[in-house]
Amino acid sequence: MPKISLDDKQYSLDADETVLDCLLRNEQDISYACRSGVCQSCLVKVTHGTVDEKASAGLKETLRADGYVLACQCVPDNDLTIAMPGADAAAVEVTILSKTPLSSSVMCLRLVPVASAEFFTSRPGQYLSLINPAGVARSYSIANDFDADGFWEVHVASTSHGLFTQWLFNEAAAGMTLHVRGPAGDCFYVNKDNEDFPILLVGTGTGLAPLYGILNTALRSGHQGPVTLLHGGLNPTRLYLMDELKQLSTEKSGVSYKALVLSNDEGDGRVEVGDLTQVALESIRPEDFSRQRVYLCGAPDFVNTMRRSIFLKGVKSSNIFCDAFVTRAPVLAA
Amino acid sequence: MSSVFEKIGGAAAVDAAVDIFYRRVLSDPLINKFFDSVDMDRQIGKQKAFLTMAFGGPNSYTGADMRSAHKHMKLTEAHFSAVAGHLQGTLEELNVPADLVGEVMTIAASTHDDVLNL
Repeated sequence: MPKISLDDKQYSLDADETVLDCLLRNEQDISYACRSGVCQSCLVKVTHGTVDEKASAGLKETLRADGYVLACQCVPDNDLTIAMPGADAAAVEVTILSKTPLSSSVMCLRLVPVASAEFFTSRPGQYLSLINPAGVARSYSIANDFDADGFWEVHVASTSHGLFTQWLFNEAAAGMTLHVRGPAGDCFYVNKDNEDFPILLVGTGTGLAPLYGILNTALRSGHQGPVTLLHGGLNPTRLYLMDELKQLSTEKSGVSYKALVLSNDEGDGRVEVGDLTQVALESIRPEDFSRQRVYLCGAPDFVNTMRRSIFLKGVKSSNIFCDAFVTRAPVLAA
Repeated sequence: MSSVFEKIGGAAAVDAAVDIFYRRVLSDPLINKFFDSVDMDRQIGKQKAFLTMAFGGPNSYTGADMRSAHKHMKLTEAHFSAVAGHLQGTLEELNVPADLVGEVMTIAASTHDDVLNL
């Protein structure tokens, strides 16, 4: 069986075992989350040996050229020497500009690159990997246009068990330094021929972050077609930015916004009780099937089911853009 | 003498056909379980590879690949006919001339024994 060398130690791979599983089995400290090649948390650098193309699928050309692969997608058939990306390798040092609650459970985090940092170009709707001082990495979608604002904005939902969110909600403060790697993802606004196609943005939870970024990019680019944003949640406390979005939809012609919940015991007048999937499907007109653009962001079950329904309804598969927020896979109790 | 693949319109024809074909198989309760995966991008990639092959285009399928890929699906004649029917229906929906449809269906039929592992 092939061996992995890391920091002068060697680990033998089991049959069909990924580099990530092998390292975890040997109790090595490696950052990971989705185990599906999506979140890019488990980036490692291969310094000797060859790997399958699958191991670097979805990575930026520059990272690939540097030998980076995703440990969860890498099943080598020869010996490999690998290195962990240092927090500062292939990552940009950033400072927390502000940390502001958007609701009782969602935090808005704004990040600026330190003055000397050389950084990448990013598009609203793509995602970044944030690495905290303890080396824990998680991916978050970009909610704004860096080129216009000079900072990145991400929306983070609190979870009771998340290592990164715990740190972010309890310890992180303006002025602190962390690292950012990225961007990745193909869920962003594109319209190179200046067409006036209708855009439908549908999301749950902090799936609003990329959609908010895409909406603002479309408006800033002078998009001529109608833009519909549908944000769904269990109840009104799960939604945020409601007032801003309501105002935007009244000010801008062509923009419509609906906040949809399953129950509204609080009697919040800003929301409607309704089924997000149903409302989304009904908002697409058959005469638009060939040019309608659809962006789906949020919980994986929702995104995958919605994608299938919208495709079956008649929207072209290549015009449906998705960002399913894959969460950390359950880990067996030690 | 141009190939079926060229006559039918090459890669552009595959792109035009893949959504129609995939929508048809996903809507058919007899076979949709074989095509319904979470990873829609990968499924569409597979359907494109299949259509390219059926259209007589460049592909790297071998009989052995066809056999192993379908081996554990317990497929029957009815499943094969259903997929063939959707392929034909897709081409007709795209107004492909009958003689070309015939040529594509002949290529598809040639995979019969390998797909059903006979």
